[in-house]
Amino acid sequence: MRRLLARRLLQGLAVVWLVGTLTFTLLHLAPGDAFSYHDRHIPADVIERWRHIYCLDRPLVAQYGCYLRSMASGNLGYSISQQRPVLDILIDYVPRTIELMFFSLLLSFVAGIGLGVLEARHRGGFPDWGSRAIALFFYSMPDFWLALMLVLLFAYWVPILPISGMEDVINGPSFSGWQRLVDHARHLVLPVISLVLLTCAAIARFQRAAMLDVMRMEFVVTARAKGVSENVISRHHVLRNALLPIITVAGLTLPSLLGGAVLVELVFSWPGMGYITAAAIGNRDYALVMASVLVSSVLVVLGNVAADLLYALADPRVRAA
Amino acid sequence: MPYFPDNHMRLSRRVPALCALALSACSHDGTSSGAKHPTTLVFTQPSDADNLVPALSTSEIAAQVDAMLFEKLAEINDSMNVIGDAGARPSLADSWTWAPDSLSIAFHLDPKAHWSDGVPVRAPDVLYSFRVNKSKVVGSSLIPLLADVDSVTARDSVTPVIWFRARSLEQFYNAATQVRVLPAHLMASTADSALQSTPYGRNPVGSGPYKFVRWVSGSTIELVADSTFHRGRPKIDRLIWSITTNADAAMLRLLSGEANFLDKLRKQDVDQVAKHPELKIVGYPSMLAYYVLFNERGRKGVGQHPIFADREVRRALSMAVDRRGAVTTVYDAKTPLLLGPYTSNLASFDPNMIQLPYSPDSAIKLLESRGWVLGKDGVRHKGGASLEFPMLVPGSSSQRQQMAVMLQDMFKRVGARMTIEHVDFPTQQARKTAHDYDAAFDGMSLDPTPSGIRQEWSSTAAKAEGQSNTGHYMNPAFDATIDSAVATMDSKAAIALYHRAYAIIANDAPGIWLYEAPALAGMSVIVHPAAMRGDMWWVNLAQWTISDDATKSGTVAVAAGAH
Repeated sequence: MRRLLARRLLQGLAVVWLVGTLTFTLLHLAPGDAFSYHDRHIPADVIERWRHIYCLDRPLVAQYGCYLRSMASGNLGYSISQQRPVLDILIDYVPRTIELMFFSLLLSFVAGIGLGVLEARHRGGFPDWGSRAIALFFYSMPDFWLALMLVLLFAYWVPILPISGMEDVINGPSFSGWQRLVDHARHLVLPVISLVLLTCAAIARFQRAAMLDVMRMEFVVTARAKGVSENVISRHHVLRNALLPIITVAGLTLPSLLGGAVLVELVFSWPGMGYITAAAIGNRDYALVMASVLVSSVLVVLGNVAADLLYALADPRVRAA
Repeated sequence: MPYFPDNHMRLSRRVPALCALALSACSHDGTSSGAKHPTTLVFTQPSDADNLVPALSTSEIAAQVDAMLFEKLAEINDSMNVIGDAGARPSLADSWTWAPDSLSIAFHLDPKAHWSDGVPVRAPDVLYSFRVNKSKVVGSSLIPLLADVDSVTARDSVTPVIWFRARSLEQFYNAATQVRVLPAHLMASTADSALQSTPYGRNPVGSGPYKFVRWVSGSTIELVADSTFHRGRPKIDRLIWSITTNADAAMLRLLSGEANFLDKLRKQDVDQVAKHPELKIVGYPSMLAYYVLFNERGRKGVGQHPIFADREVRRALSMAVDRRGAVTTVYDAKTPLLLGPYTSNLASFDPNMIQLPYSPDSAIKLLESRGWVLGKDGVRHKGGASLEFPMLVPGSSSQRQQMAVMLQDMFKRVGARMTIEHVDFPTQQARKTAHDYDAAFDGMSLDPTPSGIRQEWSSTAAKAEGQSNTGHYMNPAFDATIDSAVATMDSKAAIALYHRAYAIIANDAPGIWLYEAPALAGMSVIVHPAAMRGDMWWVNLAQWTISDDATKSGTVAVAAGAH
């Protein structure tokens, strides 16, 4: 088990380094830097001094060296566009994205597994194909488009939910703890729904397939022959065994969920990592972009490692291998 | 000077649900200190602030917040006169005295002025603020404006004196109406190099009409009226900047009623806002100038450009463009044409400036006289060179893209082939700075000073690397005329000299002057702005009001501005 963990972590480290290096190269290939469109009144010698301080006046390889040295000393760098250390920015923004992803992942699995069970139990019937058609409809939708449609729906036709931000900016400060929680949850609803609709379809398909596989097994036939009710068979015999492949899906869902979260954050003005990354790319704020990519890749790698470990814990054959 | 603070557009359709939401944005929420109906004004902005220390901030939202937190010694009037101190209003200083030789001005600080922590504002605060703004370590954008400020001394605790190296008509504007005074007692112990990282930048203490409440990164900046403000309590109780991720999201917040003010409506937003009876559109003077910039220097800054180094070719291409037609198609017939690198809201504007005419025939003759012969491919050639060039166009602006296509067609008619190269804004700026372009659809936000033209078009700005004259336009006659205008203390003579310089640059055609972008703000009908200045619409926010009777005020607003 330890060997598996160590191997997966080493592989993850290599992936993170590769992603970081590629991002660094691509980012620096684009013309301009953070000072390219700075206030035209700032004297050129001041700008040049700043470029020197931030290592931007050196060749690409030297800049990469600066970046690696900074990372090795545990310093994520300084954001030129936000004028504060990158770490402080991440402390503000990353929890918001993690919060969005946590609730989206949780609800995606609850809804996806529920739908998968429903579809498998009514295989070939209306609940099966109806549910699959609806799930496919949302699954095939571009994430930003689905988010925009929700905005349209809730801004114009059914204005019952806030369409942007993470708090009621006017009344929020005067809310009590409980009211604040409810207000925050209301702002979370639409971004979470967008992500859930996009991801639960895939989970439902996996769950359905896994359920059908298990349903064909002999122990299920035996249980049925013994007169065990269908509900008990589904819950106690089929579902438990069919949940194993879903652990793998969790690892696979994380990158797409993170990618979707970036766009959904932009549409709903949810001030998370998507927001700062998009702004940082526009501002050529290298340190901030690199840190955002780093955090995203670490999250994805850790998600996959966790899925691998859970799978190994659940299935002794994997541990033995 | 055209000025239309109450240029409301007629509004039509009713959307009751949104109306209710909009009214709730201007909420009566109990935050007032004694007012009968406490009011909140919510601005929506498509980006966050960077730093709330005025000498450090570069974002527009920070400038808006800073204007409510920090004061200058004086403020220019709403017609943006920057010559002398005519019409200047007291701010932190309640009066000032010029030395007989005009080389120093003594300001008398309002003794009632105080920081929001209760400490009075005194001369050392002014001394510290000037020092910080002149420091190259800090890198304030005011450094060039303060170049003529020699020193600042304190005659007594409430009388700072600004000493100048040289006299100029804009010296008062540059010194007294630019620097926002900072609290020395809180900041002076921090080294200039550490100023960016000080927590004060995210939790400032100011002396302005509003007090800082909170800044939630990427979400909200909130200020509350200071009832002890030395020039009287502001009329709106609370100001909130609601931060979004992009311009579309900001627009949506205005339409949904989650905010009640958006300062920059795009062309596509205007129709949307006009459909909402609970919203109105207010125009304010524009300082945004758009033009096609020619690079007179060779690519990468080497040698001269094979096409645009020739003044007559630039003039010919200018004459090939039907500016009125293009601007009317993309905007409307009311959008003013740009007459040069300045807008109609500058004190030195010359409405009678003679322009190069729209005349494709003259353009063709001029090109032929310079040896550009029409080839079978429909493009003119001279020697081995062809009259074809790419033009950088920012991909973010649909209006500029649309107009670029029209220009392409107009150039084609005189035998010039222009290709459109879509780039993002930082790329355009980087390539301009590196002289890695031929032509660019460019824009600039002007400051109100006529002398500001030197920063973009003088030979000095062209020769210094990294400076803003990226087209490398150079004309000694233009430089000399502008220098004379800046040096004279006679305002009438200065204006005449500026007009002469404008005529020189118009004839040299370093660019094709296209249009002044309309400046339109969308807001709830119950918001009543005071005069909105072109360079800073927010400067009079302390005088803005929100009416109690939304229905009544909305009706009045529409009727007053209907056209």
